Amino acid sequence: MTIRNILTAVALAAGSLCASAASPVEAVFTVLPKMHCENCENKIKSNLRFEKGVKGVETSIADQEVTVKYDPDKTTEEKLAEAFSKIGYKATLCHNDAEESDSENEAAPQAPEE
Amino acid sequence: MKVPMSDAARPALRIPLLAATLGFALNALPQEPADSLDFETDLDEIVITQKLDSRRKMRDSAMQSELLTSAELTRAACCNLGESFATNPSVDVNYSDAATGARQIRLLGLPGTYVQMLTENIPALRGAAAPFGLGYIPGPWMQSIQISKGASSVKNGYESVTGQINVEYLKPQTDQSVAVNAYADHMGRVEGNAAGNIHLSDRLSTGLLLHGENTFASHDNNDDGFADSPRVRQVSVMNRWGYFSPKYILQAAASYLGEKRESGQIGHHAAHMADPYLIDIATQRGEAWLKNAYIFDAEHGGNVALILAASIHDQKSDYGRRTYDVIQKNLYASLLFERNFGKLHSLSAGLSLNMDDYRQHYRLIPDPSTSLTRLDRSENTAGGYAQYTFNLDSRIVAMAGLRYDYSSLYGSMLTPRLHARWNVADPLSVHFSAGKGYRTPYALADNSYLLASSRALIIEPDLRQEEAWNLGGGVSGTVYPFNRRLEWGVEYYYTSFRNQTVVDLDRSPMAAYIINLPGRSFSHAAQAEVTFRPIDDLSITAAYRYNDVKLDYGRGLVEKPLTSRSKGLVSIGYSPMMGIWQFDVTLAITGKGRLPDPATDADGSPLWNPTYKAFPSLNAQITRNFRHWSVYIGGENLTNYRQNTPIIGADNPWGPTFDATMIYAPVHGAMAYIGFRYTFTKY
Repeated sequence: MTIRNILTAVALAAGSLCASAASPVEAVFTVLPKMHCENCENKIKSNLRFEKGVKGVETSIADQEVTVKYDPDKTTEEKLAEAFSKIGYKATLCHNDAEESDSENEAAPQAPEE
Repeated sequence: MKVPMSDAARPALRIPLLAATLGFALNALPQEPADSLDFETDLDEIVITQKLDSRRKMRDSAMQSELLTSAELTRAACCNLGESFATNPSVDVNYSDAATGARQIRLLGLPGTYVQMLTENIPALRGAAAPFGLGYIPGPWMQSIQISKGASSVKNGYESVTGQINVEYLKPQTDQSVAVNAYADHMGRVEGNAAGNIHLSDRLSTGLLLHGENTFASHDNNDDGFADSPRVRQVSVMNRWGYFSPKYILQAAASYLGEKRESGQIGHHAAHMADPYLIDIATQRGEAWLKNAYIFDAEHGGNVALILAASIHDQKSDYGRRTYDVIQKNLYASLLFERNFGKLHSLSAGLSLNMDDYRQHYRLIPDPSTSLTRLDRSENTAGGYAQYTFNLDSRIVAMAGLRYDYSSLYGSMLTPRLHARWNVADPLSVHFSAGKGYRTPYALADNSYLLASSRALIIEPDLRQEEAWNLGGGVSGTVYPFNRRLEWGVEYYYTSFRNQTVVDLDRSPMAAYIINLPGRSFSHAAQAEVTFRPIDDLSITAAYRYNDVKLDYGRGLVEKPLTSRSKGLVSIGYSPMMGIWQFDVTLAITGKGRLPDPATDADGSPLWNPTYKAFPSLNAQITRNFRHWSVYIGGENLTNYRQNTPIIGADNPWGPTFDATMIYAPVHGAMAYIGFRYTFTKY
């Protein structure tokens, strides 16, 4: 194998990696039963982090929200909700990045009048 | 004031007020609501503005307290309570002698006997259990540890002088789970633990905790003929129960521990010896406790609690030809009332009864032909307390307590204690405490490790009760340079003894005098600490402490021997990928100090240096977490610093200069370990 072939293979591999690595999006869930202590937060964080495609989990008892950062190519909001149900929580999606960007796009033509 | 915060610094811990109040009475830990009633958030709440760190300062409390969670306890091997402070700048754990493995905590530069040890908020590991007690609580059994510095609450009695350390065990009422872990190190020590709990109904739950350990090898890397660490075989089991209803809470536990500890001239280096010096310590210990609480006014945190505890500690010890056997029985009862009066005021009051009984048989002269001497001692103490807490939105918190106790041995004791904290804003919090503490000395039970020497033990016949004042204060806060979280703190504590039982090793290298303090005795301890998170997954703690501990044995004020003047610590934790990986490194520099006045050999040369130099100690661990598993590998004392001559006169342990108590640094060198944890939780 020539050096050119190797470089081509590396470039293709890198290209395919870049193509598959979609930028993570955030989904915000509310859960029932409510989170009311550190143990609730830890239970959610320590389990969701092992779900495929999950890149980050933040919890807020004050807002009663769980923010999950995930790779949309590897998991979906439905699968994330299933992960919540495995640990005894019914998760309801409040909003996510994709919806926000869609609504922003829709709203773009109706930008605030000056 | 609005503080900029990164993702890593969300101020989002809310705690139901009643759970917090009850938590103190029943469970000690306001931040551990798993042990409290399952209140919903529509009750009044207090807000703690801090991130959920594994080690955190409790700034909503008037006391200067910090909480070590189970996450903090997985940053190092933490096989037992004594090994749980490796990453902590406030608490030191030193070996008492170079042979038995006995360890003692040091807080504010003073020995662990002045720290009140509690398990589940009940006084524990007292008297004869103290020398080896730090090894009696397996690390995987612990849910958390709370450290309170300075004068503590009067609720738990009069004994605390420099602080309290409370251990919370795993709770049966948490999610049903099974957990198993195993540990092995290259020195031949193997440990296994198992824990499981089950919910028998919505209200009733039970849990079982098991522990076993064995040391299969004895090493003598310094070739002095003595094992560098003891061979310890231990089994322990605990069964606990919990019943939680809206009006009534019951928690109960019973435990048993059996331990066999062998040391001295064992192992292959001593195989040829005709008359080796052997240390054998066999311990059996049983404990049971019961905590009841009736909640008569949930809205105002009104409850009445009754705590009952009993223990028996049977220890048989042979140090060469000297013997110390003790059976210690303890009964403890405490009745507490607590209620809030509006949002600002709360009151706690109670009565307590403590009964200690010691049956001791000993032979202090190294002559097996002499019979054992019997010494029995009992003390019954009854008392009562009242404690008022003022809390203005967790901004200004003050706590004043007064208790009166009557001891059958020492008569009346009055214990006033005062704490105050002003959380000016996130960047600045000011705290102050003052209080008194007492302690009954048990010359042999407290100092049995001294038998690992040829020193004659000379004990003053009428030891007075120990009595000390502790004053302390400090400032701390959280700031956000470069939008990153930085916690800082500076504190100072002063302890002054009015009466103290001291061990005078200076008067003669051939004797240890256990006497009433003839002069002054005090400790100044100042500490500065910073914890910074330069990036989200990285936490760096740096701390420095200066101790000035002096006392007067009757010949003028001298520095307390075997007490380091300073300690510096840097602890780094990096947990990327949502904590799936965890890297921890802790470097501690233990400062210089002095040894007791040395004996001299036939040439008149001292047998040991009168001072020792500062030395480093490096621990590191890597952990990989899986959904149900964790695997960890690490090393302790990676700088491989060892005390050159940990045992004086080791070549002739039956001679007059033999002394294993001149210990200030590790005996064993670098040590590598590996372990795993498996947990399955049913949600």
